[in-house]
Amino acid sequence: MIELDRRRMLEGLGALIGLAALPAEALAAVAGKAPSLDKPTTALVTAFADTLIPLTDTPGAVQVGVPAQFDALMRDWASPSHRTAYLAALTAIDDEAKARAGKPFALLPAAQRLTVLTAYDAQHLKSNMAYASLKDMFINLYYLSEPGATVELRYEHNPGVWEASTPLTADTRAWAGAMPAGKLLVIA
Amino acid sequence: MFDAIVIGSGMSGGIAAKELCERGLKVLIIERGRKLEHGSSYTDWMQPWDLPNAGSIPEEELARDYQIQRQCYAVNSATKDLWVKDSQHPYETTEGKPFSWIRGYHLGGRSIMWGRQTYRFSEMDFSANKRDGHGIDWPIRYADMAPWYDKVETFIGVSGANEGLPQLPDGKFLPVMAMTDTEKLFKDAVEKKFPGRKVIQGRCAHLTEPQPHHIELGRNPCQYRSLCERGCSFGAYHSSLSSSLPAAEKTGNLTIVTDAIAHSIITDPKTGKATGVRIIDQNTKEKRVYEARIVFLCASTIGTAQVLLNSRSDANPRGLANGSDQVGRNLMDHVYGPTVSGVMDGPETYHRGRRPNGIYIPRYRNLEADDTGYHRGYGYQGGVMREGWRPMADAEPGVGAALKNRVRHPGPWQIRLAGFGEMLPDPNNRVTLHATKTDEWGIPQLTIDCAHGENDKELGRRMLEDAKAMLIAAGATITAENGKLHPPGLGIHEMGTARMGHDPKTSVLNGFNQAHEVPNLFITDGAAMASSGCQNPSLTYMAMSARAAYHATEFMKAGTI
Repeated sequence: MIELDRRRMLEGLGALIGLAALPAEALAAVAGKAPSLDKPTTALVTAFADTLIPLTDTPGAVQVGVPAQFDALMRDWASPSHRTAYLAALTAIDDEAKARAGKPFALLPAAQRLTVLTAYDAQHLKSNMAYASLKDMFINLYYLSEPGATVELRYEHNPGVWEASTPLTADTRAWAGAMPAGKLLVIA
Repeated sequence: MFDAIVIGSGMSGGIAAKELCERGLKVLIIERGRKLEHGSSYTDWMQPWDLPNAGSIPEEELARDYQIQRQCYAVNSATKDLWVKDSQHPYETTEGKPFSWIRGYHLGGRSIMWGRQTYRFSEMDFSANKRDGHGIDWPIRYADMAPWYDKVETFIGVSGANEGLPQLPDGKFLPVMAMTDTEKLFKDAVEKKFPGRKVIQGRCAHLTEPQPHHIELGRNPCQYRSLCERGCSFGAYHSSLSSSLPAAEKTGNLTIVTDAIAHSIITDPKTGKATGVRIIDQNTKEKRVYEARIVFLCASTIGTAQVLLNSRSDANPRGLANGSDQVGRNLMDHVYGPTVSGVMDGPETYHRGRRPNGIYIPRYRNLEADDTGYHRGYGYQGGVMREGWRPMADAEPGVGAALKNRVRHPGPWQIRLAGFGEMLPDPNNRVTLHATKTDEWGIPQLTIDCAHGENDKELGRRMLEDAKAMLIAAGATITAENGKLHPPGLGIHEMGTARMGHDPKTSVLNGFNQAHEVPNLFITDGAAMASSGCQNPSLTYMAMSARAAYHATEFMKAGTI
């Protein structure tokens, strides 16, 4: 757990001190396995995670360790062709940033990253399966994480009860837990 | 020498063994898969953040080892070890006729991963073949099964409510699980606008209120986790590991041998009776023979056919108990695939806990007579719940704090209905032994040749139309629909390969699940089914197992087998 906390702290630190300066090798070293992604890609992954699900009144994707988990999925889970497709989907976002703002996505200030990604997301979510799958993967990693499930959402591993009708107010949080994607997200 | 050998430790074998043990027989269960321990072999302890690879099996491994199993909703990184590797257990299908054989080889079989929906067959179901002439007449009727349904429901524990429906008989139920507020609205709308249709709470093999005999076996009340297919350490749903095998072991009469693949049943050429079972150790490939006075074959529908066909001898060149040439034929599953989802208005309420169950719409077509242009009918499983975080996040564009804020709140009421239709028995839908290919234990591989017929396809079309009409009648907006049938097998209700019947010329088993040609051989898994109904069939397999165990024991006492 100490290692996990240290990794999260390092990632959080990365978000604070500037994403391009993120110590990719240090992150990978505490994870215990060689990093699968190079330093610029890790910076892009971290910037995407931070922009997609930022720190608000609850932890964001970077604070809960999504970038390292994405790295692990690319190393341990993805087939070579899908790994290429996921990384290409990330690169496409970077290309969009360079075209629109003249800089790599990770080097843009947070507000500008949000502008670029908001427009990109609106344009590509429904038509670009590689991007939709990439986004779903980051979302899944965040809401399955302990802070995502228990601080942002609510999770009871053993509810012990089935209450078929409970009050719903503006403050009611959705229940977390593993669930399939809303539509089958498969990049071919 | 045992009194009885039970081949297979799943849903049917577990109950057969328990009943035989409780009637005083010394019973050996042989299970082809590895031993699992109730509790410690399960992965229900995994929190969402513990799931390997966020719940997904690595893609290359999935493609290599789980080509077929991956089609099943319950296959994920937490349950991976409960499913066979297709790469290790190959079978062939006829070109253009896919069949999805979904299975797990371990102590308890699919009773660990089953869907737990629990329904009786009715008089209508047991007389269906006689009524429309498809298949052969069942040699039993509802009255033969009713006391055994009572007994099994009481033992396993079934949550549900009595509804007074002739097509879905009432039973011995533990307290029913409640409907969500919007399920109640859906029920009211459907029952008002479509007289004769009922929307009921699903009946499921979960302990909503454990009885003393459940507690005695160490079983606990349902925790409403819906992690069921990982195995339940609480023993809250019925499985062989939580329920039937512990009950059998309590008698002191049970022996279990795992890792023992049934190769064939041995018969005495003089008497024609079964004398034992030849097995192959799955690890050492050592061959052994176990002997017993009677054999219960509960290897699951397709596995049972394989054992019978592979029990070839000079006396039985076509396989054991197969004078009728019906072994392996009449393979059925449920017509499955058509699904509709939508968004529905409902009260500003939510729900707590994860109910491992849904709503059920019992069959309402062709009840008294065939008045629709097709035969048989279909029912639906479904539910109306608030949309969960992942579809909420994926559905519409959105990033940043706006995305978080949208996902943070419970989504709209989401309704889903999935149809399950009765597939007609057809002798051309069959499994056979491959002429040349064998598995790594030298047992002939299977070839499966099975496809939906015209009536099955028509049922699929009508169940989609009806589901849409019911959603619209309830004021829902349809957001997704699928009219395509899944390959047979994916309903995971395969049955029919050693059917019961009156006549040894056209059936394999008599009305006691006893092989016409081998009086001390009983088959009580899905293979015995002469028709498929549209209900989830496990309860019927269990009731047949208990009933056959009783009769087998009586025959032994009387000295007739």
